[in-house]
Amino acid sequence: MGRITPHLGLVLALGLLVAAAVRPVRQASSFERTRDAAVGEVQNLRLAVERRWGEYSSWPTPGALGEIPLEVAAAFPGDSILGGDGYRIRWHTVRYVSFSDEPIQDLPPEAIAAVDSIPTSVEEGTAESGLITLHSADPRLLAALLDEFRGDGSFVADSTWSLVVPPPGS
Amino acid sequence: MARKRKKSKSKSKKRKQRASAPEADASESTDVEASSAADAEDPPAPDPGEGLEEAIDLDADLDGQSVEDLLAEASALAGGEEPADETASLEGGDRGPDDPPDSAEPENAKPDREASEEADDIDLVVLDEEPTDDDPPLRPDGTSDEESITTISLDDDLDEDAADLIAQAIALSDEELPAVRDDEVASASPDAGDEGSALHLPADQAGTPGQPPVMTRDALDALRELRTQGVGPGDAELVLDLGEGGTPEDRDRLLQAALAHVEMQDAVYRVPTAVVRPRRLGAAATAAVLVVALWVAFAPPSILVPPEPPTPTEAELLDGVRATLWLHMQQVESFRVEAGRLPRDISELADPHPGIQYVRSSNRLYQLVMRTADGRTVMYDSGSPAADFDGMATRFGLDTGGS
Repeated sequence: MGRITPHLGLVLALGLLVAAAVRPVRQASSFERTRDAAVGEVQNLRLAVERRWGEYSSWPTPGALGEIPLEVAAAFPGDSILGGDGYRIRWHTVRYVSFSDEPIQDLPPEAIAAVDSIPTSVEEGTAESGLITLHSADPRLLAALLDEFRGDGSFVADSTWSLVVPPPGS
Repeated sequence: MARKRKKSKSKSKKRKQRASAPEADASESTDVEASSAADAEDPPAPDPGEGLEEAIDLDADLDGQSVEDLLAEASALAGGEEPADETASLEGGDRGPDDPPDSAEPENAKPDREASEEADDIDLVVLDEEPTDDDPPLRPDGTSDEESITTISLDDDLDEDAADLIAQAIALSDEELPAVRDDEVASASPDAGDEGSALHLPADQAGTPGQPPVMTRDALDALRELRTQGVGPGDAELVLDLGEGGTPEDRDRLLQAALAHVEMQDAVYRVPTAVVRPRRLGAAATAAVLVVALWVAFAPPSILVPPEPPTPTEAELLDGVRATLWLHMQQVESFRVEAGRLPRDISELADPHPGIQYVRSSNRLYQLVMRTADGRTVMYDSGSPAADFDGMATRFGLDTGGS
C-alpha cells in the first residue's frame, strides 16, 4: 500500500465533498422515481380491475400482499409482484350493505322503537367493492399517493394507503 | 594517482624553453621531456600572448576522500614549513627534493606511459615555465603578465600532491577564513536571493565538528564571480582564471572559491532539498475540503437539499381512521345480513385491519375502536354512530341506500 500523497488526499476529499453535496439530490430523485412507479402501478391495477368488472361484473380474486391477481396479470407484463422499492400493493374486496328506504311494515312503530338496533329500513342485501391498499413505511409515499388520488376515495391509516374502487355504475 | 606533467601551450614556447634552459631545473622531472616529445605532434599552440589561466577541476567525486579529510590533512600540513617554490613542491610530489629524476626510466617506455596517462585523463597539470629572454618581464612579486594554464583536477586519483597543494593554499589563507555566522548559513549560496537554489543548511550543523566547513563570505563572493563567468556548482570542472594571479591575495581568493565550490557540491549531496511547503499546503487544503465535506454530509445547507415531500397531516390520518372504521362496519353489517348474527370476533371478517378492535356488546350492538398514530381513540358505535361517519358512502361512491 502506497502512502496517500497530499494530492491524492485532496482528490479524495473533493470526491467526498461532491458525494455529500449530491446525496440529497440523489435521495430526492430516488423518491420521485419510487412515487412515480407506485402511482403508475396503482393506476394500472385500478384500470385493470375496472375493465375486468366491465367485462365480467365481478372483481378479480383477492390476493396476498404484492400478489398480482391472475385475472389481470396481462396488465402487468414482466412484473412478478405488485410493488417496488419500499412498498407493496394488495388487491382486496370489501362487502357493504345496501339498505332500502322503505320502512318495515310488519312491526308497529312503538315496537320498532322498543327494540334496540333494529334497522328501520328494509335490508336489500350486500354488495362488493374493490379496495387497493399500498403498504409502506415511508409516510412521504403515502402522502404522495393521497395527494395524487385525492377526491377518489383514498385515505391513509397507519402505514397503509387505501383506495376504494366502487363498482362501475354504482 | 595524480600525475605531474608539463604541458606547453605553444610548441615554440616549449622549444624555446628547452633551448634556453637545457640543463633545466634539477627538480624538473623527466616527464617533462617525455611530454615534450609527445607535444611535438600536438596541434599548433595559441598565441604566446594567450592569457595565463589556472583550471582547477574539483569534482564532487573525490573517490572517498571527503572535504573534511582534505581539510584535516591540509590543516595538519599547514603548520609545517611553507615550500619555498610551489613548482618544486608540486613537482616533487612524493619524492624528496634530493631524489634523482626518473632518468633511469627507459626512453621507449615514456610514450606508452604518456599515452596511458592521457587516456586516464590527466589529473594535475602544472605549467612551470622557466623565464627566458623572450618572456615578458617579471613583476616585482615574481609573477608574469603572460598567462599560463595550470589544471588541477582532484578526480578519482587524488593523491597527496593535490592534498599538498590544498594544504599550502589553506596555510596561506587560513587566517583569512572567518566562519560564517549561523544566521548566515541558511543563505549561504552563490545564488543568494535565488530561492530556487538556496541551500538549506540546518543551523545546528553549521560549523560544528565533523560537519563540512561553512562557506565564508569571500568564498561566496568568489563563487558569484565564477557564476557570472558561467561556472556553476554543477560544472564538472571549476576553472579559475588567475589572470594576473600571481599575488598571494589572488591565490587566496581563488583557493577560497575552489574550496567553496567543493563544499557547495558536497552540501548539495548532503542536504535534502525537498520543498516542504507544497506538502503542507496540500495537507491543509485536504483537511479543509474534508471538513466541508463532512459538514455537507451531516448538516447540508438548505440550498443543497431539495424540498422535503410532505407527510400525511393529523387530520388526514384521523380521517383515514374513520374511513377504515366505516369500511369495517360495512363488513360487520354484511356478515350480519348474510349470517343472521353478529360476528363473535373480528377474525370472522375477511382480512380485517390489524389495528381495529371489535367489541360485541349484545346480539345487535357492537363497537369498532381504532387509535390514531398520535394515540387518539376513534370509535364507531353501531347504536349511535357519530356524525363524522355520515357521507362516507357518498364519498366512496358506494350505493348503500338510505344510510
